[in-house]
Amino acid sequence: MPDTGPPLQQGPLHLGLTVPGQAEFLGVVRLAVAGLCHRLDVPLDRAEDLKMAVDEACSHCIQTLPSLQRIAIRFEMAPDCLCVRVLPQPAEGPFLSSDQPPPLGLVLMEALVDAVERLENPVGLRLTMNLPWAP
Amino acid sequence: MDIKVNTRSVLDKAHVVEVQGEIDVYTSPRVKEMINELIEQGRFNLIIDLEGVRYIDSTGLGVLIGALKKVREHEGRILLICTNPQIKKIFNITGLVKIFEIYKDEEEALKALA
Repeated sequence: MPDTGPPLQQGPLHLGLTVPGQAEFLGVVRLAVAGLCHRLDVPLDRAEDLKMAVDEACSHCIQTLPSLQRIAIRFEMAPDCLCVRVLPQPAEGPFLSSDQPPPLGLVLMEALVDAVERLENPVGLRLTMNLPWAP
Repeated sequence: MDIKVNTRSVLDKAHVVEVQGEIDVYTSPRVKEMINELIEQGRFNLIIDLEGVRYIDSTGLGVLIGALKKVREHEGRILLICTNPQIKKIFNITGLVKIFEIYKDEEEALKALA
């Protein structure tokens, strides 16, 4: 079994998606994010933001990790936020270097969602979108 | 491949590149190839019509930036047609709205070229 990190946070919703680490599957990822946001009544503009942020995270994995085989995407719905972990597998290589200027994709991610966190174990990114409209 | 790219000449003034679909890591090489082909043919005034584009990521933006650099070396211009609010938002976030000329339709872009 591929390592997808610690167990998901307990809550009303967890969802996982694993796609091959190939660019042609990015459309599937975007569709999944859009579908989930629709199901959760996320406003359309915020859903578009999250879709793009997740796509950029996956694109970054594909472009920087030559040995990438698959990308695990884990959605966690908390009462006040939606978190998405993007976990490249295997994560061997220069995933994100603080010595270099951030790539345009990372700049976009940081602008589109409320928080972008670099994960160390397992390596990946966690994107958080606050849900102020949630009941 | 979820992308269509058509090119046509307009009044000998410019070439229009009509893109339809989603521009991402997978599809952006096709867009880049078509634009580069025109530049190699000496077409340095390009109108890139993004009205049929539903999505563009940072790779797609990179293609547009690369093309702009190339045409500017020949005193050319790239004019974008885009009214999609989500795509315009991406140009705003990245600051590219200050670098690219963005118009609402082909007529307006052609007037700007005159």
